[in-house]
Amino acid sequence: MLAQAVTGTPGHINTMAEAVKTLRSRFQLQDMKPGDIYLTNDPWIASGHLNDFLLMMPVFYKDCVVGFTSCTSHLVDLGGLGMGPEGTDIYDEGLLIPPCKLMDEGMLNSLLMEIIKANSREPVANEGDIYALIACCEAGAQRLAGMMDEFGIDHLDELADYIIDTSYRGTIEAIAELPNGTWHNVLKVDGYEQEIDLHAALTIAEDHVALDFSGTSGLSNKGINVPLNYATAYSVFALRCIIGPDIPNNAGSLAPFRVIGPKNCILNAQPPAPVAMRHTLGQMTPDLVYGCLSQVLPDQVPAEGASCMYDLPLRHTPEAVSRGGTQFALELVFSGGTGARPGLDGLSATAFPSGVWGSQVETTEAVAPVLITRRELKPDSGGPGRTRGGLGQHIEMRSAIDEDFMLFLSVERVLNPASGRFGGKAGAPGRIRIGQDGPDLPGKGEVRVMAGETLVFETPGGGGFGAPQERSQDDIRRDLDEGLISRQTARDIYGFEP
Amino acid sequence: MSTTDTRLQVMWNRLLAVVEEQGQALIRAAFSPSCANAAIFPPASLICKAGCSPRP
Amino acid sequence: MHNTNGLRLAVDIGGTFTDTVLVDGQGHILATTKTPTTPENPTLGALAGAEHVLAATGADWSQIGGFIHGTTLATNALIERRGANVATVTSEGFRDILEIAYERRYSQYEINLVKPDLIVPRSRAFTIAGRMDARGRALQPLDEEAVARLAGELDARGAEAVAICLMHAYANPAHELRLRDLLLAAMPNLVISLSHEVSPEAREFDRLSTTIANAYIQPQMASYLTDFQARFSNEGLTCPILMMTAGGGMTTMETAARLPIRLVESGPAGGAILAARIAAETGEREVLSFDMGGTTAKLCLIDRYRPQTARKFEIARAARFIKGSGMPVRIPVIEMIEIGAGGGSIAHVDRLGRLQVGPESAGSEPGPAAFAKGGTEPTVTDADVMQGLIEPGRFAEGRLRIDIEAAERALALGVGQTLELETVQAAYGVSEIVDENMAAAGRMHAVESGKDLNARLMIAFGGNGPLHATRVARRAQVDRILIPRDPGVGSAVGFLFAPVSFEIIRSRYSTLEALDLDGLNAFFGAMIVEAEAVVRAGAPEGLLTRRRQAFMRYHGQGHEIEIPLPDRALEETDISALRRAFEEEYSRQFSRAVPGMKIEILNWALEVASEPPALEHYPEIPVKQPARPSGQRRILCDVTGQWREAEIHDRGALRPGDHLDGPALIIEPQTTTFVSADFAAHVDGGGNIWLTRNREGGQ
Repeated sequence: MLAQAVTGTPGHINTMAEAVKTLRSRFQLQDMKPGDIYLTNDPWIASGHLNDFLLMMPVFYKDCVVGFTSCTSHLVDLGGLGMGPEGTDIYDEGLLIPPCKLMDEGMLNSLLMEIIKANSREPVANEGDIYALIACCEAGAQRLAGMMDEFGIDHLDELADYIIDTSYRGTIEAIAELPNGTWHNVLKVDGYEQEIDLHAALTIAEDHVALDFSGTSGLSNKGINVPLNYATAYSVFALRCIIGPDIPNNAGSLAPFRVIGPKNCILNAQPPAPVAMRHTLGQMTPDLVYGCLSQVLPDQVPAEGASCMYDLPLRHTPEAVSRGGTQFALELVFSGGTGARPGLDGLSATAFPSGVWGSQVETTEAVAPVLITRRELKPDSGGPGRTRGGLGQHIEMRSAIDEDFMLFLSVERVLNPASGRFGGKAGAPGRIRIGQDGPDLPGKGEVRVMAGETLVFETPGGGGFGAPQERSQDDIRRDLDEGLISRQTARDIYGFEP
Repeated sequence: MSTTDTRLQVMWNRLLAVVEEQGQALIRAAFSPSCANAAIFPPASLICKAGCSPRP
Repeated sequence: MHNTNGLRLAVDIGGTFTDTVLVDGQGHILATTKTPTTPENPTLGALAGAEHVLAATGADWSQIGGFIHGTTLATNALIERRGANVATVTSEGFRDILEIAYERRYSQYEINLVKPDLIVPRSRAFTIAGRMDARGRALQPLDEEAVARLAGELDARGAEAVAICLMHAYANPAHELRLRDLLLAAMPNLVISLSHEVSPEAREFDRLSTTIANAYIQPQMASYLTDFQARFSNEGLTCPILMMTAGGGMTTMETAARLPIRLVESGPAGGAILAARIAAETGEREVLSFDMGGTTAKLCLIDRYRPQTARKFEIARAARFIKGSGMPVRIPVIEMIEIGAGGGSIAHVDRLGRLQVGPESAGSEPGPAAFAKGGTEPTVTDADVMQGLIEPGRFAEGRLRIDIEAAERALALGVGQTLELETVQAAYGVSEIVDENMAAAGRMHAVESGKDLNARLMIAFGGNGPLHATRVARRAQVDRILIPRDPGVGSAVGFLFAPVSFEIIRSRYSTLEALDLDGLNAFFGAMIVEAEAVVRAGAPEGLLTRRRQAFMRYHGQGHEIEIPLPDRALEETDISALRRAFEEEYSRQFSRAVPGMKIEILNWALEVASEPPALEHYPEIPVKQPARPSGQRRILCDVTGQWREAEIHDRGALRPGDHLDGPALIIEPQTTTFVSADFAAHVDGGGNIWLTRNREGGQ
């Protein structure tokens, strides 16, 4: 792999390159013709769940296949139980399309398109997305051929060697600066039916970095299992944020990072395990890895953060369809705080590692029958420390009309908040309840919010870094002045005497 | 490094630009699973090399 | 208002230079000058420039019938953080709109990322109860009792200006207006910006950020404008002064003082207006303007003689020009992409041994090493000098000495030795990288806009635009380039072609199928009254044109497409026409519509404008005689990489109909046009230089 867009989420790093390799091994180069495009959404080949469709197109130049362009995108609905952790196996989760030809010399495989549409609640959006993916592949192929024309080259071999060698060398140099050895970490996470232990052993050698998930708990019966390609993507992303972050993603910069895990541990789920919500735990792997890396580079690795995105799929009730009620589907994502950095506070209400965008209240209320009555940072939710964890959010929301709505939860850090490092304290856990005084709800499962009731939702804070007593007086004073910490916290935890 | 290397580097920059362009084009055309003001799951794109194989 | 008898004067105050242009009633340039900007009081530099062009032509103040002014003062106040102490008031429950923003990191791999400073700390962020819904219905009344407490808090925090941004105020401004009145009654000296006036669009973060930016510069800009007007009146100026806006139109001093945020980036907008004007005069329907100066390059797409517009841009992006790292401002603007590539951009070799150019710039102080003003780092200009593309004796009218040895030293030390390259090859590499950066940015911008670059005419100006135009064009697969007259003061010249105009973009959500036509027509009626009042203040007579647009999208998509609306009340039958127009435009951009998908509209735009000055039609002059060079010099050919002789021409000596083949350098006081070996040049009846690429030639 020579180049990858940075616009993608970390979940696509590496997984796409591996997917292209797999597709190439299934189809013969000599059978490929200009205008062919291949497709799959197999979670174990593409990107960890059925919604991610991957297309691959051979690029022809002077009658030779010189390369491939590939793109992937999240489709809205693939049938089955829909996005949510309730499936008991992959067959519950919707339509799986094994590697196949979507376009044959520029002609669409219309039966395949009909099958995809017939198996979806959102056929029109799916069709639109697939056409967008096709256009994306074609544009890339055209631009690549145009570049070869302009520079007068007939193949990419020399360029590929240059890119991969340069990147490999740079990455190895960055790895060589680190001490050799093996470091271990265990991260306890909420899970669905029970809490789960994620284990990691990080080995740094002269010329590579190896990560092993041995010891990690087994599969869940629910769709929170993670295929290894996805766990690898987030783990390697986290490592590359610290080790050689300035080097673009390609085969050279990724080669020194190797990830393994025993089959059917929850980070290496095998078919037919349900995997729809693989991001819930997949996005926790950076914290798992940083627990190891922090022992190697104590001054460079942040404390644990909220990490898992607080994803709020909202939908009309099942009976709304039959009774003529309002039908809608809305997926809101809210972020918690990131972990404190060694030299900087964590970022409040910021997506890490996912890189997703949050939504705006006004546009949300314009398009869906919900009313958001509060969305503010939650004071004292950032883990105290010499540098403070980022704050989580406090959100209150209700139906804007006289109808109930459904919420499908799959979030983490309700039972196990983000830990601090080196004396830093934990961030506040996430919390979900109906009404200010309602009982706390578990982080996973279906919730019905009745008309007139208020859903109260708090995203977790990030962990602190270093002992709170070491925080500068100016920083504590500013946090107090801005209302980010309470007087009580300033006094009791930071030992601040105004 | 030689002038050829500068040229290779220019091509590398070009490849990075091409995949970013692809990503942008996809973001514009993709249907997000949420209300439309957020590209919740940004799509991704990449370029790989193939061995040259003449067509029959 | 365009007085055909009087002279017209344009003054563009930039960071380093103040450009002044004087034209006669027919729009012919009588005099231009570049004078140093006087940062402590920019008005003095403007006066000096104006006096210079008046003296040069023997004219006096009373003959001036039009005065257009653009300034970077507003932009600089925001970048340098020299504004008022601003506080915010938002709806209860939404104190942290600014901090939460889009919950996003602008750089995926940067662990130590610092988010942009958006001026107002949480300690000056206040809230008040009261709530509108998305349709503008009051769900909860404004808590008027709380105003006294609020005033006390504002006072305690020393607030000089307040940005009020209440939830859904674009749909119903009643609470914002009432709150302003109550606060002013309690604190008469407070400067207040209301979000529904500054930026009446849905998306609370963008609207609040824009309102803060407006409030932040309002006190300073108001006093600057008052002083500017007074000083020029004292000199004897009798005509009103109009201000250039980021949207490419002019507005009155009063509107500028109320909405100073509209003045940011007005200089670059002038360049785009000039390019659009030339496009119209030459009948070029698809144009790319390319404005390259000392620190940045700006590109703008111009279709059917209108610069592409946008509704949002960012101020003060972090050093690397990364999207999302600046302060978002949501107002109608001419859309330009700006990249850190200029003559002063510094070249260095990164950890991987890759040659990088910019975005760091040596600026004008110390400037490129070749300027011999203490600069030691290799820059793009140094690379051009090494390749023989700048004639040392005639740079900047000979006022600046060019030190070739210094350029060579800097390139050898900073690039050549690390990469084991000969200095000339290092220079060639620097040019290749920076030209590729600019071409890539242009292509990316075209893709983001759903457009192509290759069929376009590039119109190049700015101090370095004509020098790099052929090299950038080749990489962007652009085959034709136009270099206008006076390319060094392009922005100020552009001001003179701008109409008096005002644009309002306002949110009103609806699906296309459920459009409430009566409500919508009343909504447009109110916008027309508001915009016409603003425009009439600057253009009391003459015809006004109106342009209405809808920003439409498929439900579920983030990207909106502009669809023009007829300038009249909409009727039931228009809905299917709108659907067709949307699907056609969507197919054009994405090769295929998505039938059956719901279409929705969030934003609507109205622009009211006066007639711009009539187009000049210059005579068609066939390509006749070969131009006679004034000399020769050795240059490194950018096509072959070999040294060869290039002709030198004086632009002042070129006549309509002249033609010449590359490689050649065409020299004029403020810039040099480099005609690469694969391009030929000719001069048209208007004095523009056309460069045409001959794909086979140049070897």
